[in-house]
Amino acid sequence: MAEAERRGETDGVKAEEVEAKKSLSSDRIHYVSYKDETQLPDIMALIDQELSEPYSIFTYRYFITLWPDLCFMAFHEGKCIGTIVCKMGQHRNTFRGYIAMLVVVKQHRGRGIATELVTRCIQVMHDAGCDEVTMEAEVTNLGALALYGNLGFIRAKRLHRYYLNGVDAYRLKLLFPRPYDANSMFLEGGGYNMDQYQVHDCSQHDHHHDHKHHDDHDHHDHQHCGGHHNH
Amino acid sequence: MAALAAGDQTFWLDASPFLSSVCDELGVGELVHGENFSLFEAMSALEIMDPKMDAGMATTGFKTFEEAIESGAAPIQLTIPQLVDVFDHMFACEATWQNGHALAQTVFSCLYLLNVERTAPNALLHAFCRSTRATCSMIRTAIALADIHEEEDFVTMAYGLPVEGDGDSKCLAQLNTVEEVVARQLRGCKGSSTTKKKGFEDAEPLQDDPALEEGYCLAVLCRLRFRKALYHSLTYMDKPQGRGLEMARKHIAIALSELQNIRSSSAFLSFGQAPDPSTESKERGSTASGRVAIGFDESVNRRLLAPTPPRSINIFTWDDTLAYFEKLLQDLDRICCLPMTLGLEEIMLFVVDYQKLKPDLFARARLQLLLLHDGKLLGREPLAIALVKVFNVPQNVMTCDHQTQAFTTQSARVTQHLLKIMCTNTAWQRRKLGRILQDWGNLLQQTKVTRDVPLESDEVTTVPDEVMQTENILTAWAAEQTCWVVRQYLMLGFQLDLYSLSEYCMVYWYLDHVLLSTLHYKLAKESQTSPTLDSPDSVKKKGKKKKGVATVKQPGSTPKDGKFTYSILLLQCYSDLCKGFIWMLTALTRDRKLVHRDTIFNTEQERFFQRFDVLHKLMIPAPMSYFHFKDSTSQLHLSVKELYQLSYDHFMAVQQHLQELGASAAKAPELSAVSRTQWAIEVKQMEQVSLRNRVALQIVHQAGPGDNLRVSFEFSQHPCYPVAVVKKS
Repeated sequence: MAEAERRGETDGVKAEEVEAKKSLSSDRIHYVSYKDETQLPDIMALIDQELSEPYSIFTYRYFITLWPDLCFMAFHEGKCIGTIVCKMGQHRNTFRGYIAMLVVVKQHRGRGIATELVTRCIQVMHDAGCDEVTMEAEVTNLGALALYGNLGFIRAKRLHRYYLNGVDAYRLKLLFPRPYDANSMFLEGGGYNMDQYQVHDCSQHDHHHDHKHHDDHDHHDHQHCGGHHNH
Repeated sequence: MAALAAGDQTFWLDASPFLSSVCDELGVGELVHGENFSLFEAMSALEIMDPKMDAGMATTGFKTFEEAIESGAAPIQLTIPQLVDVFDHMFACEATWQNGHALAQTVFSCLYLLNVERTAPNALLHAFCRSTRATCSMIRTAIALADIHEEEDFVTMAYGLPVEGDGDSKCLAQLNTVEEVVARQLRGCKGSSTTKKKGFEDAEPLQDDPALEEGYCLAVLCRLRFRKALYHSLTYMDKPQGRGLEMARKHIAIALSELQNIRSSSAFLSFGQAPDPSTESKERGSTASGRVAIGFDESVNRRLLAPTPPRSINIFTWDDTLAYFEKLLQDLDRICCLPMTLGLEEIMLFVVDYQKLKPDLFARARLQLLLLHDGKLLGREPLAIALVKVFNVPQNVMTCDHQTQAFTTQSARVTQHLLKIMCTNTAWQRRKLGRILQDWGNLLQQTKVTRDVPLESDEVTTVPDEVMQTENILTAWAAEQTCWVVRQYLMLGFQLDLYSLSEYCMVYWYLDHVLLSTLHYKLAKESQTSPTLDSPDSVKKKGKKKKGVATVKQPGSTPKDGKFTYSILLLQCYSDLCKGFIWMLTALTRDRKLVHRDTIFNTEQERFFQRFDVLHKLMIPAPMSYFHFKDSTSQLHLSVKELYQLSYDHFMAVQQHLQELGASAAKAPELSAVSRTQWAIEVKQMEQVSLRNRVALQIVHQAGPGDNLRVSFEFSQHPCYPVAVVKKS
């Protein structure tokens, strides 16, 4: 733990600018970028304890091994009190970041730790060229919804009884600005399509479960990536 | 290890020592896997024997059905109070099941139901179990056929449970027999209580205490009769073309009154019960008596659960169970009242209004089955025929023009899909509407693009004017429908709570644009069709317009029948509400009474694009850009006070439209009872929205610079239009 904390102090990588915004109350929190498997037990213990959905070790490995730079931990007095696990990849026509898990233990919520963790990840995603960031949150998790709303996420969709506990979820999305004048693009390039031959039958895509059949990634997200507790 | 040949020679070896020896050679995080097995695949794996992952690993309770039976968990001989508890808990399980939980954890947690034949010696229990199973089977079939559910809504898979039984078709006869016995016993004990003599009828008392006999007879009887009425209603609703609806209504009425009796029996059944000090546990109980029913154990089915992590499950409480069935029956009754003469447009309106009552899945499934039976509208006519009536194009064009025919066929397909989507749960509905929009957009292109091709020689022989006119009619119809879908898509966003306060302004702005487009094409369609109305021939064809048209209409005048003014006025109300909010929100923001924080990673422009992305792919309603939005809502030449006034004027206009709307109510033609009721409700809701927001506007308008007022919005009156709440901060 002490070692991790020390590393945290020297870990001032990508996020100096957000570092500066941190309030005084959180100045004893140290943020650590994921380094190796020795940190995995901490992360797993924290998430298993705080989130409702069950995850296997393979779920953690899938995310953390493939996207180690999208995993951060927050330490307070040598104890891991918050963590975030994400991924990014091609999703249909977009390069998309996905926040899979975010946890801050109860007694440390409301201090901007979750915001800091999310901000760091989103910054990495942005720098890596993501077009957008997406995630799910329980409709009842007002703290998380406020946090993501403040970061510019919109509630794009509602997913009926998404979680195993029967609660609905929102799919939240954050769109990054395009590098060039986007708006003219939005209407012309992405405008309505006059191509007769692109007519296709939507009904064939309409399975019972669009987030499962429509996008294969989300299938796993559904099973394995659950509640987001923070604030 | 030597490779073992498959087949008869195969034998099993304990590989544990081998595995543990090679494990030592693996580093942390290493995994032995095949080439096509990545970390991604690994993630979908379930960890066996972890109770959080592996449904079969719950370690409490019985392991098998046989074990449970041998331990006496489900005795066949039950006392009457015990039997009533079983009935009640079964109802609770059914309600829970219909709300999306696995059969194995709900209805088939009943050990009696897992082997119904076993219950034969107990006639009451046997009849009840059989009819329960038969009812569940009907419900399951209906939901599967309607196919409007997601896997979170309902589990159709039976996973090897005995969901159907050979003798279940005889369940009615069995129910009748036991009902007769109990009814006789009830008469007997009533007789004995008045004459203080033993009843002359030789019925066996249900239980030992004569003082309680009547109460128990009544409790059992109303439960049996409820079962029977429910079974009958479902059977009648299954008849095609709504032929059984009238009979179904009768049985629904009986079921509702028996449900009332069941509710009344709670006092008797729980009397002297509940010495349980924790009243809380009684509230949570699933039976009228508050006792735990015997003969239920979901653990015996754990190996029959889907190979996914188990969903947490709470069986409905007794109060929730009664409320569920009551609502279900009322919702089914509303379907049964649907006039079989309704036209397509009225049917669409019915579905939208019906959804506002938040019906549960089974009710929506029944509606879907009634609306589209064998691909026909109400099981009577193919959708293409129904659409021809809506289009109301000249007969000769319809028969001669291939493009019109092709368009009609295509429209029928898309409309059928739309009708189905509208019966799904609203969260899914909105996502599906977003996707079907492109189909409507394509339809619209079809009317435009195909007509650009010069007419072929044989088509020139038809009257070109009529073809032209047909083209306009079809375009106007497709445009209006597309606008309608977009409107539904945007408005559902409010009901699903997808928009945040900072987005309200842009959503109302876009919605207003869509409403005005709808209005435009509605008027265009009416003006296209109105000349044909002058010929008495076409008035006859236009059956759904009814008498109003012929009497009110004068040549050259705009159409004035009730339906026309009704929908136009409603659109105007919606539009003025939107404008009221656009200006109110703009003014409040400029007045610093609403503060929208800047976001680090993007701006309002990206959020605007995300929100309306799907609409930008359509031709109609014309795509609107963020700059257009900013431009038209900035109104820098107006002061904040003037903006408040502008908003006020629009809310005032709503009030005036609503009065006219009320007047057109009487003239409104054929509408379903549901739509009529819903409409009256909505008029009241909009009145409140208009009134309360005007009050709020007056307060902020008069507020001085020193008054720190805070404004929030609540959807307390109308699902899509909020009320501003002003508070001193």
